[in-house]
Amino acid sequence: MSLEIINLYSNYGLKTILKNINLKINKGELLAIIGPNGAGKTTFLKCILGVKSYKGRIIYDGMDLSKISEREKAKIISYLPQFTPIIFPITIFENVILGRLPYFWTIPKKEDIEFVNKILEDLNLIEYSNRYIDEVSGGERQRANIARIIAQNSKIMLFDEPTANLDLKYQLEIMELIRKITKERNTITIIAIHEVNLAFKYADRIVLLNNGEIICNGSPNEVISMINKIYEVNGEIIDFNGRPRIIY
Amino acid sequence: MNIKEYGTIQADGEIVKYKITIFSFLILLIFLIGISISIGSVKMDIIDVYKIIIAKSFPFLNINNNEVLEYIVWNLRMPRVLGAIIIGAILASSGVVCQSILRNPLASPFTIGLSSAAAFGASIAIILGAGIAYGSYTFLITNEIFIITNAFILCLICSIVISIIARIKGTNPTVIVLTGIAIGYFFSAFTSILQYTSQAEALKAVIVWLLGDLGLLNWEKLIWISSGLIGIIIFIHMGWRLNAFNMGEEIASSLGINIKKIRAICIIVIGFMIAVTISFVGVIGFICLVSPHIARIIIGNDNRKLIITSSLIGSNLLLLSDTIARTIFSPLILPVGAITSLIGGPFFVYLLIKSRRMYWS
Repeated sequence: MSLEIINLYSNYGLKTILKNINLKINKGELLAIIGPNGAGKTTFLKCILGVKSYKGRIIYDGMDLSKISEREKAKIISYLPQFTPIIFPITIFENVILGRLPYFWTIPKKEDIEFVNKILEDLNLIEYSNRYIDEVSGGERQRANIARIIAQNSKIMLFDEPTANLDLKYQLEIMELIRKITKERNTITIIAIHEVNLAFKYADRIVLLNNGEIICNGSPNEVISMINKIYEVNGEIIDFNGRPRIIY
Repeated sequence: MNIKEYGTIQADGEIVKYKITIFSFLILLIFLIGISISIGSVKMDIIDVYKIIIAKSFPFLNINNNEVLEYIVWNLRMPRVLGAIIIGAILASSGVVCQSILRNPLASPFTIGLSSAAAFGASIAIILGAGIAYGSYTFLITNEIFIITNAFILCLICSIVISIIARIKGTNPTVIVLTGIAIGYFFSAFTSILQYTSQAEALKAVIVWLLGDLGLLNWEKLIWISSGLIGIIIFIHMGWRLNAFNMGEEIASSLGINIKKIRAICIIVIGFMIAVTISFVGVIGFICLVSPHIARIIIGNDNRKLIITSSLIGSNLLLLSDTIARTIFSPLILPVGAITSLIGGPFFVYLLIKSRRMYWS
């Protein structure tokens, strides 16, 4: 099973944000989307989620994702947006069980609750489960959000800047966690990320976007040579445990 | 350790807290019912009040009561007390949902213009009805059906207009709130012009209506008003979906929720709930805003619990306010809307100061 993006175009008003994007992502693959500000990374994720209008086709397992209901789509795609302010905070438990919302109407089933408990235990969140989401540290909050994504049990996981505003320890922890669940659950995972070295460390494949177009699509080693040119920097490329890094 | 039964060990503690809260407010409500009915021009023992209520509610028990007292309790005072409970619950629950779907702690059905629309409708009936038909204020008392229907229709139209805008503009709650405020000002301007050009008696009638009054309630009107309770049932059913709004619209969308549709449905249901209450009793606004926040301070932001808790707080607050309004300077009856703010305001500020944390950002 794979996710296929065919001739994708998207615009805001007269400004074209994404141009002729063609991409195929396989099951169990962690794809990182990198690129300068305004490259179209978030728009790309929103098009896949279906909250941003687009031209072209997005196909998963032979299904055109624009033609299925929101509820059914939520069983296929989960999404963690960039940090958004929460007006009425809820507890971590209440947040995680929201991941089961596509599977029940009024009251969560016993299996839903058991599933959420298991996730909370696995992610060491049980002791925080009754804490409000705005009371815990940024890292714990992001772990709780990832727990909700896991609870949603979707085939495609989309993350928009999951490490933003986190310290180095949590950045690594969150990326490790995303990679682990991608491999364990065999999902298609797409991460839009600014921190290129995290992408080179954890992604199976990297897509470099610039001005809405794919500049490069390949392994970290294939993409890293383009970084200096696209970001207009002069970094030194090194090899670290078989994966490239860029030092500024 | 009871992890599997409801979620988590900590969540079990939350459930106990919630149950205690509901139980406490129910007991307080039962106590307030007794107090409220027993006080008045004819004073009676609170035990007699409960006996009469039980006797009328369960006729098969064959409890004998004084017929005069029974008439006073059941026909004169009970509709008013029950009205306060039902209206308080409807106003409070609609306030919770309004805040949740618009993600704004200042939002309430009254800040999005519904009360202004209803007030304009009522003003047309009171001022123009008096001028055109009889030129007499007494006409209005006997023909209050005009006031009710006008207020109801305009309130509902206002909610439909806002829900259409919500559907078109989609995911921007600020636009909806600002639109509601603009619509509110629009109707208020018409009401002001009507008031400015009206005669003194009609003007007084409009002002009395705007301050809210539960005194004209009877069993027949209660049946109509009770239809607003359907909205509470709908909202309880939607509790989890409303919780998704708490995490932001993008997350709610990714969880399979059609934001535009849910928001439009909720605004129309809120419109109906407000229309069916304030068209009968006038503008009682503060309950919508303060009850949800008091409930948030006590039990948090989970809409499933919040809707029920807030409804109970609204019922208690309105019943307490009405009891004070009609007894404190008896035989003078003060406007219940003003008393609600007088009691609710300081209590709300006290909770804000004492609260361990803020439940909204």
